[in-house]
Amino acid sequence: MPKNKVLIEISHRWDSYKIKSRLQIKKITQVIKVIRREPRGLIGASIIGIILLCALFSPLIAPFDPNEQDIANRFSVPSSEHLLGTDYIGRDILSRLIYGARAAAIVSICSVGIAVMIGVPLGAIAAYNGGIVDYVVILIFDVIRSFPSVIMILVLAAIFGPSLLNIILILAFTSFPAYGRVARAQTLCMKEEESILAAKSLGATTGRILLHHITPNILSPIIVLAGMDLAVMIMWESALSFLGLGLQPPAASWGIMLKQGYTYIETAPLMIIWPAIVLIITMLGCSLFAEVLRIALNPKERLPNE
Amino acid sequence: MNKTIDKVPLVQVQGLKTYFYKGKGILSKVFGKGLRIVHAVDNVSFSIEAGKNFSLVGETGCGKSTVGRSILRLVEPIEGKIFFEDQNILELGKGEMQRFRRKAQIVMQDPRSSLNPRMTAGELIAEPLRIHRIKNSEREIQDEVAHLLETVRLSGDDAEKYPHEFSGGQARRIGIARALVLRPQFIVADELTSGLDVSISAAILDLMQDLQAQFKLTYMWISHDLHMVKYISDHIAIMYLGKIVEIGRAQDISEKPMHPYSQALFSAIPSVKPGQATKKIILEGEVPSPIHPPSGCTFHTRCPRKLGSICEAQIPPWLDAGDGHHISCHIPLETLRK
Amino acid sequence: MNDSLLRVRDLTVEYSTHKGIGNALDNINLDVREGQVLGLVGESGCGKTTLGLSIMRLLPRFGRVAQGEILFKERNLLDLPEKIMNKKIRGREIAMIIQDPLHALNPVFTIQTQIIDILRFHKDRLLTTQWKGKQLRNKAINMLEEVGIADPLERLTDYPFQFSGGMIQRVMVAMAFNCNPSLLIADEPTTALDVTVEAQILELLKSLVKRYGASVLYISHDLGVISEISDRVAVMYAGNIVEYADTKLLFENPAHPYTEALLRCLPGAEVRGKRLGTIPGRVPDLTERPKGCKFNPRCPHVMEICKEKAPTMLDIASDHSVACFRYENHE
Repeated sequence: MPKNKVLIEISHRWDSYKIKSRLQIKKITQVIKVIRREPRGLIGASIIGIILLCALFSPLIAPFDPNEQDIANRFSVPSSEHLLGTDYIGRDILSRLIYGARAAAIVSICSVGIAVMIGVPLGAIAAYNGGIVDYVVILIFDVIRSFPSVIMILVLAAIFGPSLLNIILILAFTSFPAYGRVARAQTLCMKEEESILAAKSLGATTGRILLHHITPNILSPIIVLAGMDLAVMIMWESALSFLGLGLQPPAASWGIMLKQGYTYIETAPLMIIWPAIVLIITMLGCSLFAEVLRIALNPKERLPNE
Repeated sequence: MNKTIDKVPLVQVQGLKTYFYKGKGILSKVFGKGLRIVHAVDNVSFSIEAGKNFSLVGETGCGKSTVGRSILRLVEPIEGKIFFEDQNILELGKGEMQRFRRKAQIVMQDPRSSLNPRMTAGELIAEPLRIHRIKNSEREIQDEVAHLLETVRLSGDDAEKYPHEFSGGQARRIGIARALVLRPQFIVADELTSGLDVSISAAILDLMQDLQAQFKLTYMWISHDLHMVKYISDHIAIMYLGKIVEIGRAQDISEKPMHPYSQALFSAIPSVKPGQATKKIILEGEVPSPIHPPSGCTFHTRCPRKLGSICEAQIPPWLDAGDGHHISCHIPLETLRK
Repeated sequence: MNDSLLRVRDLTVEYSTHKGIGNALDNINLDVREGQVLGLVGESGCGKTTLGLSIMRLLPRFGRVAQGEILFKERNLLDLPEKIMNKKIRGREIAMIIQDPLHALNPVFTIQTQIIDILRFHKDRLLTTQWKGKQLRNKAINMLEEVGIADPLERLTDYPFQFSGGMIQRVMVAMAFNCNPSLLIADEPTTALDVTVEAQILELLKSLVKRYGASVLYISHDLGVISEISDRVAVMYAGNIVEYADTKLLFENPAHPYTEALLRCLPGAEVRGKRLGTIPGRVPDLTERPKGCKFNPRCPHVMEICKEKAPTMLDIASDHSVACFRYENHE
C-alpha cells in the first residue's frame, strides 16, 4: 500500500512539474520572440553570443596557441595564415583576442553577478523593512560609494595583488552599492502598491512578497544597469591589466594586448586597433542586449497576442 | 432559516483607533519635531451580521478604507478590539493569523495597481492556493483556477493573460476570483465599482450578489457611491473625518438620514429624475485635515445646523432612534426627526 | 432662444491605432443652443471626449477629421488657421474644463503665476488699458473670489498640490470664465470629486453660466449629473449619437434600447433586492465595430435590418429624436 502511495505521489509531482515547465517555456519563448523581433536585440544577442562562444570554446576556435611565438613573423599584416596579423613577438592576434574573451567574460559576468546578488537583496530588504536595518545598509552603501571608484579599485588591487579572483571581488565590491541603491529606491515605491497589500491580505510571507511581487517589478532598471556594467567591467579588467594590476602577461587579455599595442602604436597600429574594436563592439552589444531584455521581460511592452 | 443564529455578528469592531505617524525619521525622533499624527480612524465601533451587506460610506480621506484594512490587519490599529467569530484578531499569533486570512479577504479598489503586472491572471489566482498549500498537485491548482475564472464569468483562456490586457471590469473580476479562491466567509469590497461605467458596475454588482448566495458570504462595502450603497446594503455607517456619525439599517438611513452631515451627503446625490431632486444642502468649505481634527464634534466647522459652543467643546453623545439606528449629534432626537 | 451657437454637422473623426483605422466619431450631428446646457452622456470609449477635443481642434496626433463641419457662430472652425484658433477661439470664445484636476495645472508654478499668464495672453479681450502687475493680481484675486475660494490673497501664492481637488476645479472654472466665453466645454469636471464637493462645483457652474450667459457642452458618464445640469441630452454609443432629446423627455421616456438599458443599470434604493439589468457583451473595440446599428449585437430588440443598415435619426416627438429602426413605422 505505501508503495502505491509513493508511486501516486511521484506521478503527481511529475504531472505538476510538466505543467509548470510548460508555463515557464511559454514565458521564455515569449521573451525570445521579442528579442528576435527587435533588430537591436538580435544584434546585441549575436555579439554576446559570439563572445561567449569564443570564451567557452577558445581552444577549438582559435587557429593558434595564443602564446605560440613566431619571431620571424612579428608585426605581420593580416594574411590568410594570420587573419588579423601578429604582434611584437609574432603571436597570432586573432587567437589572443579569442582567448582574451575568456578573461573578459569571466571577470564581467562574475563581478556583475556577485554585485547584483548582494546589492539587490540588500537594497530590497532594507527598503521593505525600513527602520534601523535600512539605516545600517544605507550607511554601508554610502561609505563604499563615497570613495572615488577609480582610486578604490586601484588601491584595493594594489593591496590584494593581481589575480583573477581578486579582480572579480574588487569590482563586485565597488559596484554592488549601485545596485543596492537602485533596488532600494524601486522597492520603496513598490511597497506602497496595492498589490503588495493584496498579497499580504492573502497571507503571503515577507519572503514571498520580496521574491514574487517586488523583485520582478524592480528588475527593469537593474537589468539596464547590469548590461551597462558588463561593459564597464570588461573595461576595468582591461584597464587594470593595462596598468599591470590585473592579469599578468603572458596571459591573453584585451587589456594586456592594448598595453603592449600601445608601445608600438606608431610602428604597428593594428596591434592596438584590433583589441580596441573588439572592446567597443562588446560594450555596444551589452547595452543593446540589456535594453531589449528589459523590454522583453515586461509583459506590458510586448505586443498583444504574442 | 434559523433566525437567532443569523443574528450573531460575524465581525464586531469596538473602539477601533488607527493613527498614522508622519515624519518618523530618526532625526524627528531625536528632536521630537515634525512628528504629526494622522487620526485616520478615531474610535469606531460597529458590528456586521453574518450573510449581510454592511456599507461604510464617506468621502475621500474619511478613513473608511483604513477601517477595512485594519479589520484585516493590513494596517495595525493602535487601540480597540476586532472580533471575528469571537476571536479578537488583534491578539492572534502568526499561525492563527494565517488561518484567519483564509476566512476574511479583501478586493482592492484599483485593479491596475492591486494586481502584480508581471504575473498572469492564472498565477494571480493560483497564488493564494500556493501560499496556503491547499491543493497539492499542479493539475488541481490549474483546475481550480479554471473553475474560478468561470465562476466570475471570465473564460479559461484568460488565465494566460496579464493584468494590463484586461478591461477595468475584467480586472476587478480577477481581484474577486483571487479573494474567492480561499473560500472566505467575509469579503471587504473596497470601492469595487468606482471608475467603472454603469453597465459594467451593474454586472459586477450582480455577480457579487450571486456569489454571496452561492458561497454564503458576508460583505463589507467601502464606497463613496451612494446609489450603489442604497441598493446593496442592509446596514449603513456614515463616516466623517475618522468617526462614524450615523449608523443603522439601510432603509432608515437612505429614506431619512438624521445627522446633518448624512443629510447633506444624501441630498447631494445627483438624481436621474429631473425636477424631482430634493433641495440640496451645499456644505461650506473643505474637510479639515485629519492631523488636527476639530475639537468636539468634528463636523462643527461645516455644520449647517450647528447649535453653538457645545458642538465645539464636547464630543456629541450617541442618540438612539430605535432599530439599531444611532446618530452622534448634540441636536436632540426630536428636532432631528422633524 | 432657438438660435444655435454651435452646430456640428456630419462630423466623422478617424483614429489610427496599431490595429487599424477606426471611426471614433461617426456622422455626428448636434446643436448647442444659445444659453442652454447640452449634456453629452455615454460610457468610456464612446467618443464623447473626442467630440469635445474636435471642437477645440485639439485632437491627438493619431486622430483626423475625415469629414464634416463644426459651425461656431456660423464659422466653420475646421477651416480656421491654427493661429486664429489659438488667438481668438480657444480660451476666449470657447473655454474648456478637463476632468483631471491634478494634471490640469503645472505643478512647479504657483496659482498666481498661472492665472496671470493666462490673463496676459488674453489681455486685449479684457478691455483695460493698463495691465501692470498690481492690476493683474487684483483681477486674479477677484476671479478666485468669484468662484468661492476663501482667502484668495493667501491662496494665490500656493502651489497646485496645496489645493484639494475641488479647489483646483474651482480655479479651473475661474480660468475658464475669465474671458467671458460664449461656449464652455466641460469634460467630466466633477468625476474625480466627492458628492458633496461635486454638488458645490455644479452649483457654482450653474450660477456662473447664468451670470455670464454662456452656453455649455457638458460631457459626463454620470446620468444623474447630466439630468441635473442639462436642458437637452445627447446619448452616445460607439461613436454615434443614438438619442437626442429634451432632458425631461429622455429620462422619462427613453426611446433607444441603449438608453433604456443604461437607466436600468443604475442601482438605487428603489431596486434593492432585484438584479440590475446588465447589458450583455461589451462595447466594441474602435476597429471592430459591427455593421449596421453599432448596438445590434447587444440589443434585446434586434431585427434583421439592424445588422444590415445603420439607422438614421428619427424625430419621434418634438425635441426628441432617436436612431433606431423600431420607430421607423411611426412616420
